[in-house]
Amino acid sequence: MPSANTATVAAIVVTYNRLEKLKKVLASLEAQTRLPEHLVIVNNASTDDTAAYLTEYEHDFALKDKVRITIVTLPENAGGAGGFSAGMRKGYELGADFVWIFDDDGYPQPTALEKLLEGYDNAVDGLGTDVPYVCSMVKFIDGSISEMNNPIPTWDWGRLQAKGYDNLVMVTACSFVSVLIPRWVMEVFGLPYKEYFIWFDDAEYTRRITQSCPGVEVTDSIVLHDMGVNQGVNYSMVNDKNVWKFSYGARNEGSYHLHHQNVWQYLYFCLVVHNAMRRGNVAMPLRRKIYSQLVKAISFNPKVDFPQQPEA
Amino acid sequence: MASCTSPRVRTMKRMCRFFQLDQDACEFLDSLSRRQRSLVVAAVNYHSLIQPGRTLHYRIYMGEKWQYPRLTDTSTLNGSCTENDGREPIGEFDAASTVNAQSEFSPHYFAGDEQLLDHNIRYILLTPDDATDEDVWEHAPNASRAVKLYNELEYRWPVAFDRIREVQREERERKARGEVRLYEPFTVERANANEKNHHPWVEVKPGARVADAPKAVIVAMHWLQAGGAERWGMETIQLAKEAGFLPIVLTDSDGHQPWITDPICDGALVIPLTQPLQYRVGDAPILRALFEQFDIRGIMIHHCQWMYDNAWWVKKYFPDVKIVDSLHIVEYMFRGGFPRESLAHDEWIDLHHVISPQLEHWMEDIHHIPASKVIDAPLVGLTADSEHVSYAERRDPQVLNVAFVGRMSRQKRPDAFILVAKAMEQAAPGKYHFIMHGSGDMDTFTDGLIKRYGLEGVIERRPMSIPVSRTYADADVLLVSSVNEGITLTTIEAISAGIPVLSANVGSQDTLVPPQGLLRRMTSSFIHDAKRSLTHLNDNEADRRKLWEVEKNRLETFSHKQTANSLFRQLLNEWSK
Repeated sequence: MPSANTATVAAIVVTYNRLEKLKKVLASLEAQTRLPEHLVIVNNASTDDTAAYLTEYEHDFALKDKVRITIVTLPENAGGAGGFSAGMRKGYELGADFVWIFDDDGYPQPTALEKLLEGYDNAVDGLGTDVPYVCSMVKFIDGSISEMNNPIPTWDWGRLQAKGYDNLVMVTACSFVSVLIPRWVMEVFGLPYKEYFIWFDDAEYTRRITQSCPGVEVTDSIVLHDMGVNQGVNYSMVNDKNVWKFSYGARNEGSYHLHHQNVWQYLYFCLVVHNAMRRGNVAMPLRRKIYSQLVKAISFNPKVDFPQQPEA
Repeated sequence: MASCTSPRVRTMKRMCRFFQLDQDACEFLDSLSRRQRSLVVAAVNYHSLIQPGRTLHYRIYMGEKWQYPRLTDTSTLNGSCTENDGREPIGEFDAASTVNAQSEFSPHYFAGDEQLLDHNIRYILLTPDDATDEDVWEHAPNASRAVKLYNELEYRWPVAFDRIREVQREERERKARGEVRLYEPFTVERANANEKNHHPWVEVKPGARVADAPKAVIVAMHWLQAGGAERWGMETIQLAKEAGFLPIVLTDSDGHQPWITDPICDGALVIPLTQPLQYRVGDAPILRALFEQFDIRGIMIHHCQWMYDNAWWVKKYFPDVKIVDSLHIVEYMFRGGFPRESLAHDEWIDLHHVISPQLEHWMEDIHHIPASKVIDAPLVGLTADSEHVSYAERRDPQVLNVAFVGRMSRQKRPDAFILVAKAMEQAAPGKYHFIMHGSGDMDTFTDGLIKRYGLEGVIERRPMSIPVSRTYADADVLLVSSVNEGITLTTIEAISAGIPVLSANVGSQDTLVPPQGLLRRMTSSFIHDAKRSLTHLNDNEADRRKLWEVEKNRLETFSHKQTANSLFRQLLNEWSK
């Protein structure tokens, strides 16, 4: 069974046109007290200087002896979901015992991976071998909690604390900002839906893999999320600039409720979206766009990809 | 982890073990009976083998007499039969697996789509030493209307009812000649071709064998308790030891496993498997672990369905390992029972050992198994000394003693025997005495029928605790009333004890019993023929002797065939090279 002492870890970074932030991410990774054995950088067909930079970075990589670097360049932008799916598949193919995934605006603090692995071993001690993931505490760059990346705790979230593990909280869903996932989970539950493109891919995936055993947040493994403004999101905030993102969100979450839960959950979600947009006075054309995505969700039901099978 | 110092556990160390215990655990194991301790060791060995290197916490519970031990199945992970059933453990301890695995053993298992949660705890259920199968049956009797009607008809009108059963038997015999559907292994390819599959399965290949792995054979049995196949199974454990192998004894059926304490099991690795096991498509973890830890040369199957179903896995990765199965009688229940399973799995079996000419004929002539793959080697010598035999004179010229030896079960048809006793008592009161030696699930039925016909003074019942030799010593003739047999061991035992045998003409009984000793099968005909024969034997001592002599000569001829013991000795010697 993989454990902190013996496991091989593949860090997976997905990037798209955010070179300056990516540089900071890579620097944070190089500064880890426990280095990953592999670093997989998924370039989501960036149109800025990312590709050139990565070629240079790979060539001059200072930790060549310790970390094997792999650049995966996607032919077109597959969104965060497609990037994570491709990166995790690559991590699996490299034989890693764990993949450690994060976005190109998440800066893991120096002990993030060390604490995650330690937390995983403790979580297994406390809950058994079926712990499907551990994730970091996500903070905003000013050190306050990241409003949009709070994992959802289970009803018995304090169970591990009662056992003396003060830094462990049991959770269901979390976002893909520093999540450590063991290999067997990918084999059994598959990869995130690449078809989601963006939004809700992380929520669906972490819910999928926590059907039997919850995930665990390791509160002293810290990652800083550099996301501009620190605020949560809901459908009252739909505007011309972000409607494309909310559209994916509505389709993906609607599909999840309908195809993985039941029709009542789907209808309830539609009602919540409707009420939020009304409350936020979202312009009618934008509302219609969102409604059409909710309808699209009815026929949108992608199949799970498994890393042990070639990509469909 | 400190090692044990207690004397009993030191003895236990001579058993094959794949784990380490601390002192407290040893003391707890000391407090258990030998059988219970052996069951716990078996369970811990199993979990240590399939979870190499892990330290698991074991909670041991004492169940009721009507339960069966739970040692290796999925309830040992979720505690559904123990902790979640409101029981308190009688002891708990940690055991660290010392297995040096050569391939990956996943801690993650699924039952269908549902993950089997593994909290590092194994819940083991034991049963009291005096628990029996009857305790289990009586706790949950099959009380359906059909069963009640069947039992009532059987009890009220045994003779008439048997006419209906005879039709049923003939139909089953007809079906037994029908084509056998071959077993299709549930391979990774087959599982992955199913669209409803939860996730694609990956083939897990066994790793290389550890250095200095002991030479071993697997003896796969139904269970470790009384039965003809089991007696022969135990004999093969002994033969394996004599040939220098470490026997790995696996069983696949629920039972209290009383024979686990038999000295024959000393030095063997004994694991009574309780189902369903933790397993995954494309992998047989316990077999993979055993093949990594032992130099397994062969497998002997004695009525073990699990081993039949996993034979393909063995042959896939270890084609040189020989697989032999032993079959006793042509079966008609359960669509043909084990002989049919043997045919269905024939592709992976190297040799079918049969103990009666009838089975040989059934396999070769009816089901076209090549004669080179079927060998008839009788169990002569297993329970009786057939070489130095002499005729046993009548005990009492006034009374003829007639014996029944065997389980009280439908196959042995105790009701037919009782009806013969009734007919004889009516025809010649006080001239015949009957002994019924044995017990089984029809004990209550048997007692009820004896009482109903007022035969308490005519039929004497003897439990299995009395040596069977005493019954042969007290009897003048053995009456075999079974509806189906191969060649019964009791026939061989009786002839060896100097008494003749009258038998229903079933299976291969006609190999040893000449026509004058054979009785028609259906109950009414059986009673008619038995009455005529017993009267004749009672009146003609010379013919009783003649019958025995013919049977003895037939037994001698039969004994000149290669015996099962000699065949297996030869096989084991070949395997050990």
